Amino acid sequence: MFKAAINAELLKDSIASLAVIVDEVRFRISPEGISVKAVDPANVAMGIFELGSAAFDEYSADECEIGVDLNKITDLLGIADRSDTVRMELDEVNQKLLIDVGGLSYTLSLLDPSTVRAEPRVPQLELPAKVVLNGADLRRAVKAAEKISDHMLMGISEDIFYMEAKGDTDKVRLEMGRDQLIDMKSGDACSLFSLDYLTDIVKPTNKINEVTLSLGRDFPILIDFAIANGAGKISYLLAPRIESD
Amino acid sequence: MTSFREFAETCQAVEKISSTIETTNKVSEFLRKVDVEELPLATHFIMSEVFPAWTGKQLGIGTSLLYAALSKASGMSVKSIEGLIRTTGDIGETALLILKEKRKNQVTFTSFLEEESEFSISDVYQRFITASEATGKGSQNLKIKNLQFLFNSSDPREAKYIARLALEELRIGVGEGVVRDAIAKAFDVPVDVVEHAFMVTNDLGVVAAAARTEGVEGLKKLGIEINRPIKMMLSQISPDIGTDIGDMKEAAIEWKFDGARVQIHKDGDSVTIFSRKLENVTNSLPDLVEIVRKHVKADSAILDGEAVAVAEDGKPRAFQEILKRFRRKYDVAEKAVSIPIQLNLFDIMYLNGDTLIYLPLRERRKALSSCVESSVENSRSISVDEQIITGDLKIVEKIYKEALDAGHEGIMVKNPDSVYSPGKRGKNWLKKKPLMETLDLVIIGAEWGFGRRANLIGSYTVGCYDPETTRFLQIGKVGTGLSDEQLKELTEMLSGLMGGEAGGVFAVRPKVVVEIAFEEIQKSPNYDSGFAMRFPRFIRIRDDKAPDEADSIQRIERVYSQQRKKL
Repeated sequence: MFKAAINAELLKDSIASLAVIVDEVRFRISPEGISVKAVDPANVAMGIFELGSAAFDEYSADECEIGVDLNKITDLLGIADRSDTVRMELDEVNQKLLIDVGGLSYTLSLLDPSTVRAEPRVPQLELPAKVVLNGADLRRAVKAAEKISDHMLMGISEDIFYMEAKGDTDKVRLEMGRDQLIDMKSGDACSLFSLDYLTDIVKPTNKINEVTLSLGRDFPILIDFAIANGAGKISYLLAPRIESD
Repeated sequence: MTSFREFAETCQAVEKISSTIETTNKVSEFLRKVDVEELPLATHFIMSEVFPAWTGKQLGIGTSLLYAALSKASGMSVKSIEGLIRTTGDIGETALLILKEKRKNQVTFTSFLEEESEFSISDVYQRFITASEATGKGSQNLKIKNLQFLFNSSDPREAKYIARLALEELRIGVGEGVVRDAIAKAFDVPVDVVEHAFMVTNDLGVVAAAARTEGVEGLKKLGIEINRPIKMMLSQISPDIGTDIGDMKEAAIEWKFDGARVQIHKDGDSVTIFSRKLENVTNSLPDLVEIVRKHVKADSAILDGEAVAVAEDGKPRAFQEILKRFRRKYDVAEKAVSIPIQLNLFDIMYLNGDTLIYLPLRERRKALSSCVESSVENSRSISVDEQIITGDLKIVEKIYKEALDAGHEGIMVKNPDSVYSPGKRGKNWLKKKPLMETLDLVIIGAEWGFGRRANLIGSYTVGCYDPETTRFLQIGKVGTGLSDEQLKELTEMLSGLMGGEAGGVFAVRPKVVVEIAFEEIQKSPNYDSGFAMRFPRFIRIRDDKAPDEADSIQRIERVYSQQRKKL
């Protein structure tokens, strides 16, 4: 059983944050809320998504798992107003999701969860350094890097957090000290990431006040932030590019 | 599950071996080690196939997709990768080089998990399928990421063979012959039993699995199955028809039609048509499907025949006309009306659950006539072609002349007591046709034209087939005989196949077979076949032939020595 009502914009943003990783996901539904763990087809980026029942206007559910094509939901929510309420109800027998929004009633066919790539195993990482910054700053640095290169270095050097991109001829660097950051835990950190992924991942952070980055040397980066006034959380894990010595 | 590493190691070992026997031994060791569920797949992989050839399915992963995936995997730009391809001339070596160098290789989460996980032959297959079948929004990205996954999760030496396999071209010189012998050796079964099982199933993967699990008995159980094409029985040119007919005492004489060979499977109301290359061409021939459904009175049957396109004067139209329909995907119905088609059936291999290939031709003809109802309606017709059994050479000459007058190729001379031998070219089926010196060769290189033809292929290098190494050996360069329209068509066909360049000549992946006329074969040190053609001229594209059906180096040697005899 699953029946819920939620603000259209919140749902749209949540779906968009997952859609940067994969097209098809398994939603794990429980009385406490909805969670998703997904890895992109190249095994380079992971998304871990949790939306607690408190994020919903109405919520009641038993344990169940459904397979969803995110593109379909994105298309359907595209028509909705930001302030609309989306009502959802699961028809378990026929594997359909009934969605009411803005006076329209959709019947959405679900995917057989066994045909959707299984939840990935999340590596246990010890990331020595941590930076908390404004999402818009992160987005701005990534956008600048994109103009120059297709990958970006992120690291900490002498209490300065830096993001740097080097092209064939040009270079761009953004440095932020403790005073420009919301918080920082200094440590040995310097890793190179593909902008293909970063560009997509930082898109939803634009509206987020506090984004936490956890970093290491030639190690994946963990990017996480709260959504739905703290009732939900998104974490991205991105594997680095590694240069030989 | 068998790790892909095992496969890559076999490829690597085989690539260094030049002896066929040693190659066969290596392949047989590998087949013995493979997990039984993966054996069919592994058998196809080692022959550079992702799907059994008879399914007609191709992966369709292009070089540009691979370059993009390699670029994402290594951090090297597509442009630099293309540059590297031009020097190495091979996608596999290129993949190995750039991933080994680790300039800015992407790593995957696998490196951060505690236990190492290896991926299997089936995993590679699954990723290929996903990359091949993705359609619609975001599919390009999905294709690239699935390939990228393979490149980043493997060792560079494995990546080399993944890249080559993605193009269905391993370049390790393992063909059907080697695999057939390797299956026999690996599972201790006689080669001729393996060979026969292959001819009726057309699928060495199925054959390997049967040999492994049930041995000789299993192979003998393999039979003809409706909707899975069997190899067509082939004919050879008779140098002296008089002697041959004398040997047979009586011969069955039929016209040799100038059309396209078809193998038709009727299964209830469903009709499937395969071309000479055993590609499924059903969708291109809706009118044939209909006429077979209506006039073949059998629950199930496999028939052999020739489809002929007929011109207004009743003579056969150019062979290419009908082949064009094989390639056509749109306007099929419209074309069907504008080109009348004749279906001439001459053999039957299967009827209502019974395999007929072991019956003599005379008996098969009876069965064929009993289930085919001749009919002419509108622009299409179906019939069992006329066959005369005779030992009289005068009658044979007369039929031969009639066939030529009607615009067909000549005659077939068949032994009326012979079985249907799938895939065999032997003395039981002979053909007599006017001598024209042509060879079917494969395009392996190309040069751009200049002046008016600057955007078209100007000339191209052709090669003959070496069945032992499965490689193609150069035998000449052809630049004449093509109309502008044919040049355009050929340029389009080749554009997706071009690879590395050296001195203005582009390597072309050996896919396109062309018929080339010539005046004489000469010895030549300039080409690696050791032969060259004098005055080569383009005749036509042989869409109906697969590259490994092109004329072999042995055939060239024979033509050369026959020429010498005539002098």
